[in-house]
Amino acid sequence: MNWKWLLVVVALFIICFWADVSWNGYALRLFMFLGLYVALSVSLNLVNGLTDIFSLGHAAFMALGAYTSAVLTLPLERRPSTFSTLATWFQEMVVPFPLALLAGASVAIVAALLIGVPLLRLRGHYLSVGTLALLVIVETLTRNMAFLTKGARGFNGIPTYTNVFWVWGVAVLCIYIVVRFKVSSFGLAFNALRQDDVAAEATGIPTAKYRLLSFVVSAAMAAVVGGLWAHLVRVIQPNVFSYNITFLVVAMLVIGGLGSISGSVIGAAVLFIIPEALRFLETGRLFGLSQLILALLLIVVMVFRPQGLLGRKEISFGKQRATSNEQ
Amino acid sequence: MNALEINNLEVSYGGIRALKGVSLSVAEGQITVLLGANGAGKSTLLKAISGLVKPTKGSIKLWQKDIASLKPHEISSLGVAHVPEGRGMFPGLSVRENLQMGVYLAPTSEISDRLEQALNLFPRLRERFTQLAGSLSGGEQQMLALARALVARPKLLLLDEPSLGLAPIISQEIFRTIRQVHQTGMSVLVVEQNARLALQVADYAYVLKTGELETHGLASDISKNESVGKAYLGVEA
Amino acid sequence: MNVDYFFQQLVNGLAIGSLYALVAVGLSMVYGILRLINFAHGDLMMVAAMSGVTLLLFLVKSPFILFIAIALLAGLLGLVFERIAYRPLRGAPEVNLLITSFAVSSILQTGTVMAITAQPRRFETVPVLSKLYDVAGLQIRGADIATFIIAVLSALALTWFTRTSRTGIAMRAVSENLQVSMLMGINPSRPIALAFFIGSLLAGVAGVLWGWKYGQVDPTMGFLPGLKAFVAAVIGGIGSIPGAFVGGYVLGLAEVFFIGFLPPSFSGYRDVFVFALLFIVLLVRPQGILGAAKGRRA
Repeated sequence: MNWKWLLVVVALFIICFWADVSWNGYALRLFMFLGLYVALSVSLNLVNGLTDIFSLGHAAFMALGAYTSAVLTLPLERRPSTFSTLATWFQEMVVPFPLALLAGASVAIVAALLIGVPLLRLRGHYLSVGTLALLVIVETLTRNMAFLTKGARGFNGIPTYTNVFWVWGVAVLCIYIVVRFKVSSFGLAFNALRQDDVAAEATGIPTAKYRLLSFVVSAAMAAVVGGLWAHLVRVIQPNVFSYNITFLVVAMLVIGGLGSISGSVIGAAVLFIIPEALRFLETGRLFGLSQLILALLLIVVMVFRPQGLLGRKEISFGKQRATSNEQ
Repeated sequence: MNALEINNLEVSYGGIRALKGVSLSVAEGQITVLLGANGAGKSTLLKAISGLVKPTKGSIKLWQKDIASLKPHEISSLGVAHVPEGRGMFPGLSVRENLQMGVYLAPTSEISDRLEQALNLFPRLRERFTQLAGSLSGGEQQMLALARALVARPKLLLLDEPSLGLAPIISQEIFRTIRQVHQTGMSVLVVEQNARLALQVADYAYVLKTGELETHGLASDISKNESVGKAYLGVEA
Repeated sequence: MNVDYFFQQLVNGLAIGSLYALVAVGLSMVYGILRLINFAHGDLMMVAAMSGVTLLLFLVKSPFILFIAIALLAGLLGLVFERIAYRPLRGAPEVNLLITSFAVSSILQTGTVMAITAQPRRFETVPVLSKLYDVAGLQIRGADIATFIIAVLSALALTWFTRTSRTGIAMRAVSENLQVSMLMGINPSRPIALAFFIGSLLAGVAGVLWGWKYGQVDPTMGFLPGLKAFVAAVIGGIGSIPGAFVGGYVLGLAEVFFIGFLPPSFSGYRDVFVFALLFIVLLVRPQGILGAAKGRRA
């Protein structure tokens, strides 16, 4: 672990302190969303960038984490009316925020395991479409289990436990985890897996296990982010964690560079700032303009610079670690 | 004028140089054979000629015309037919449909005549006319592949390992047919591992080894060549 | 539960199945020839339907002409995207194609929202189609009859085309082996563009039929049918056009019977059911009903 990176992290937390104390609410909020997007794109990169899986279902795990944690942390006074059809012990139980986030992650882990085992038998485009199915399944569930989630009306009254430290703490943690994956023997195995999974299998790499592992860990991270998200926006609905956010995160990933963690951080920053900057344009008729531009940008990148900004390389200070000469 | 002239050809796959500066020519109306072990680069050479792979260096000229910038379908329309390794069947298409693809570029008026001729040459295909190509035996597939190439009335025929996986008696039949058809003036470049069989029909031979030309000469001379004999013909030392 | 109810559900299933079949066939055609699952396919259907409402409805009164115009529009749109988004990526890694088609899908959705509206719109229909016809004691809507007939006719026409015409056979040849087809002198760009055109045209047809059936269209309506068409194509055997056709009906019927014979509280879960079906098929018979037994990858 490079001490220069430690400096970056420290600087980041100093900025967090500063933001928390003196920035105005809007800027602070933006800064937090940026952190969430960084965490999302980095955690998705673990799967989409490092393995041969291209998942489009990340938002589903976000949803699982968001709803699970929200349902658990809802304040006592709101519980009886919200969960009127549920058991009394549930109406009287409130879970502390950190535990609720972990619970969300656990649900996502279980879901990822259950779905992952059959789903990950697929390859390529099939697999990606299968992960889209995940989005639909989770959305259908959250919409129909109204006794718990309040269905399409949305779940509101979520306490605002999320603050800038939580967000960026989790973001840094996600980055750390994914980097560890990338530089470890996992990462090398993933390299081989991505290029030729049959050959990789033949050299003794347990491809199925590794793919499942990355899928599950990524899901857990997404769930935690989902939980943070819910406790920032205070209201969540089934259709929030769907197509649009998936597209945005995928775009961040691809433009930053699939497989490059610093790339996904940069991608998140760039693709977050642009829509915000262009928000003033989005009046009336032009609503959704930023997404349109994003989509066009994505195609342009695919045609002219498919590896994105950084390809698979990382920003480093000084000496390069021995990474594989990837493109 | 030579049907085919290759000069200093270099082809790379990824970081590997499959062909390192190969020069060869196929004389008009002759059967030229390219010998060599597995991995020598023979298939790569044929693919470079038909345009499926692009060379990194060197030139390929068909009847003195440089084809470096042409796409495979354009090269095909110049009169080149390539029967690739593994025959390149359209397994879900019937024998008839495969042949129809062979005459894709032919003028409509000639199509039925050409198909007739092909079926006369390979009566077995007539029997299997409406069957799916994927259900044919190895030998029948090779016949179909050859027939499909021939109905295009090519001026240059490229054959990649026609005897691969076939029983000797069928291989001989295939080569007999090649010699028979070539008498119409067609130039042929055959890539073969079965050197003995190939040298029987060939006029000229080249020997390729790990991407480079080892030796070349008249087929009769090559078959008498000692080192070639040991390496490829199983001649005792 | 009586016989009438059963037949009513059967008719429903066939009607929905026809829609799925049309979209699935287009999807399968494109996949067969490019190994690309076009995410934007469902959205093409949506664009067709939305255009039918807004633009053309004021210009064209005859449903017949509307139908043809929209189908052609959809076909052309598909061609445009093939040319600018997919052709430059021919030979590129799978992932890039996937991302691009995802982007195209987004463009179609947001473009429609911006150009037309984000709100659901009523799809005008004509009396011929909205009327209930008495067929063998059952009440069947004209639109459903039309849907079924059009789906079957399309399938027949497509089969005839790909089996007898030189271009159609070339399309199949390119699907089977792109490299070798080039050796035959076939310029692959043409069959590919044609496959896109036809596939998109079918999606457009489905869009109009959908509008006639449900009477309402909106910019997000393409996503789910597109996914379900994928499920249908997988059930039938992806890459196989007859397979996609059959798969569409299997899915439509399964979905309708699932809803029809389970308690109403389950009806919200119909989509989960559809995807559960997908996973089952993928686990038990990944090549689908009509697909040849290949490896895991298709």
